[in-house]
Amino acid sequence: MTLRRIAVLAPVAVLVFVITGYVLYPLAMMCSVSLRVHGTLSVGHYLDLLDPGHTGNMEAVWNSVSVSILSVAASGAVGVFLAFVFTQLDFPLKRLLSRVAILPIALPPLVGVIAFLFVFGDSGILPRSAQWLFGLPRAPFSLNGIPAIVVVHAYSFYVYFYLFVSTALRQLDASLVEAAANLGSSHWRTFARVVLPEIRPALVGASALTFMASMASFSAPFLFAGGRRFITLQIYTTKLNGDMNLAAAQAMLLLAVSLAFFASLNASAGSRLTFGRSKGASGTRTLAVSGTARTAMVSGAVVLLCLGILPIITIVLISFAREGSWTSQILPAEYTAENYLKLFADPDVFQPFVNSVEMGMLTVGASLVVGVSGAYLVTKGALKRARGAFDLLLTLSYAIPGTVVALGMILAFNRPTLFSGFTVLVGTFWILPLAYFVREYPLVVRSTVAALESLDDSLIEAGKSFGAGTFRRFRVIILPLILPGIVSGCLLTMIAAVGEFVSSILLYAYSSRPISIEILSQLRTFNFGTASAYSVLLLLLILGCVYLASLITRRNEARVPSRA
Amino acid sequence: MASLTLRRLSKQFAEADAVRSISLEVHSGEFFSILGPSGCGKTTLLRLVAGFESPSGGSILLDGNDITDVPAQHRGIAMVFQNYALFPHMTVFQNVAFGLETHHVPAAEIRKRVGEALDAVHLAEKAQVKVPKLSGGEQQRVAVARALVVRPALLLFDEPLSNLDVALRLTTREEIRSLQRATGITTLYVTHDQAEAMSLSHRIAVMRSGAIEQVGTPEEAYESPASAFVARFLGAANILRGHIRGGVFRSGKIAARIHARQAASGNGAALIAIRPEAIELNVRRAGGSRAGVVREREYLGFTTSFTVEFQGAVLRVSAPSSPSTRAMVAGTRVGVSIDWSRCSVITEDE
Repeated sequence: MTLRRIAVLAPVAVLVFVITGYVLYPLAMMCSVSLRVHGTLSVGHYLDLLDPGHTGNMEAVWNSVSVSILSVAASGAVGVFLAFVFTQLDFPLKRLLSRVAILPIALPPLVGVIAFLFVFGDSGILPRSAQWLFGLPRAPFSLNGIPAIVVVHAYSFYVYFYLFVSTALRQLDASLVEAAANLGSSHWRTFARVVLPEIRPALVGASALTFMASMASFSAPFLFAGGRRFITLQIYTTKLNGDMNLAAAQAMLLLAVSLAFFASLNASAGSRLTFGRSKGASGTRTLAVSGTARTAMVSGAVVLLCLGILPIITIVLISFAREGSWTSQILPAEYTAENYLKLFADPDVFQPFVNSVEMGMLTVGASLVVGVSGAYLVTKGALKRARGAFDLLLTLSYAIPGTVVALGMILAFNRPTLFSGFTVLVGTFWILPLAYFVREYPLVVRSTVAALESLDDSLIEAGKSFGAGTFRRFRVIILPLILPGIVSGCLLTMIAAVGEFVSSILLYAYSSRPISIEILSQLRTFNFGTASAYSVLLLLLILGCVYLASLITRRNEARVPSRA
Repeated sequence: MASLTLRRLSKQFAEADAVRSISLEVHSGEFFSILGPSGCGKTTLLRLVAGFESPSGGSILLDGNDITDVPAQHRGIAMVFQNYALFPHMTVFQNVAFGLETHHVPAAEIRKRVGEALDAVHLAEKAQVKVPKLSGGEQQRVAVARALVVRPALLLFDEPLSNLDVALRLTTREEIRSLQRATGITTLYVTHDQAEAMSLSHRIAVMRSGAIEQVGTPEEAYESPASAFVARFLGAANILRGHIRGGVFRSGKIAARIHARQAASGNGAALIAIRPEAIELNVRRAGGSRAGVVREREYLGFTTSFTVEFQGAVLRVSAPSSPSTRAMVAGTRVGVSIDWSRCSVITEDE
């Protein structure tokens, strides 16, 4: 075997090792565990799930599915509406507001849920304000139970619809709409016959992503569900009760539903996650909207965005509230910087922050190496021919709910194996970034694949033609051109990793607890101020990463102008 | 400067045979064009030579050395791409310097040679401009400079003018021609534009469905096409189907004595190609001409093109525009005389 061949095959081998060891092997272990009752092979646990006498599990599936469907509808309504307003209309502060519109993507799910609790919950600011305003004996409204979960999901996931549909609308050739009008088609007919078919892939893609994310959602049901059962909560409770076999069977069930939607996502043309790749003329108008309708739509969008910022403002406010000073008032009565000072003064209190940053960096580092080389191999490299299969394998783990990933990790690495470096990983620090990596590296794959696909092959050939070897071609030609894609993928990975909660809650040990777990435990002891201070710190950390990413992209852009 | 030899070169893709056993010899210093319609395999042939595709069979020799298995970056062959493939993140200077840098040419010499190359394509003052800010014509010239500056053994062009407008295409064509003649770099040029190929090339090869139909100087290919396809592809041609017996060609009512040189292939079924400019129309029938009727007249400026019904055949005729061509409107009865000495007999069937 020549050196050249080894150089080509080594990355492929690493990739296969990673996918096998950390994605497929845990799933296989989970499957095998789920098929064991008292050590013998049996489908008993699956029969239990379907047992008409104990409807708890089916009820959980039903609740999860119906909440997911409602979440898709609500997210779709908000996201599509905002996409239309931001692509079709011009209004003051549009650039600033369009940034606000994608804010939820930077908000860790747990923080979003807590913020909603503070604003809309039973003793939230808005219900109490209304009670005080109208002099009512109790709050006239508050969000809890299923409506609360759906609203939180809509808030977290409308961004999928917003981004996908905005992109589709921007890419929509305005002359198509003009041609339809020219042929005498009415607005509605043009929308139904010309615009809708063009944005359908985006709608299907966003719906599938939202459905998967809602099915996998843990934090919202965890804090809002009351007594209701949800499949992710079922897995968590079963695991806490120590019945790993039943938990595995429940996880397999959730996985099956998720994978079914992942398949439909892959089948739809809108499957590419193309965040941060807004190309083409952003000013294309396709629909003429009259003055009043315009005002109404823009006002509606602004109100929605204000409701969206409100939770973040509230978190910041509460982070300055003196502990115990917010009981029955609308707003906390006393303010102090103590919550923050405490964080920085006590190393043990600050530990979660350090943990999350370290795990985030480890996750991004690993995702960068595996994601970029994987993306390169399937689009331009040795795996180009086997692209279909590897595309699927590389992004598969994105479809696995966090609860399932965590359970798989526990079942796979509770004993020494080749993939765990012959040690037990459960209970250690390392299992957390490993789970984050498995969940999030597909984001780097997707964004890098998208960047590589828009890279003209003839540039690489020109590099060859002028004597550049593989390494020089990558460093001098390919890397500068795909860097924005890589950076945006890494940024999303970092955001997801530092705020991760779903897998963490099954995997953490006290010494390795991340910020999200600490926020939860502070919340449980009614230290709202401290919980908020942690949340704000987490948000600042994420903003810092966003800034860093834009810095890298801009420095690169100074050398790499976008193509005219 | 080097010669290029292709020996039974072939390339099969899953869907089709793109290149079928092509053997070819391009002489040192020669400007050689491969001409053919889209999908004929000419670009695949070029990419095989460049090393971007590996052949299914046959070999490629550069100056007698087999380079079939040499990777593209070690072939010393430079290419000008159809879309130019300029690196968008680099300046004009950086693009042109790219090939020299990979070959570790000293910085001072890079500056000198890039300067000379940019002078040659009249872009010296744009050296520090980023490529996306250039016009299409300027990008094209940068691509040429980038290829010339490395002094390649062989220079490849892949339809380099197809993205330019007509006027720019003509001037750029002249520039490429004079640069090649001045440097003497052996050049393989792929195009579907016959005028381009004929004006630039010492020799051309006409390609069709993965195989070469004819190789020759532009004059040979135009005046003596080896097949009806070549005759049609290199400008309009009237193809008459008939047979030859005793030095006389007959097709329907048309009969003509043809030269011994042309009839060398002897008796039997034959095609004859008549160029539109080898037919003359007269308002009044002169001696030796026969009657035809103008069906359509197409005014093209310098020339006027006619569709004429003649002895049961429909012929395309082209003549310099003049008062007499203006008089020949549709329906005019005209005298038609064919210069049979300028016609070529094609024995091979379509």
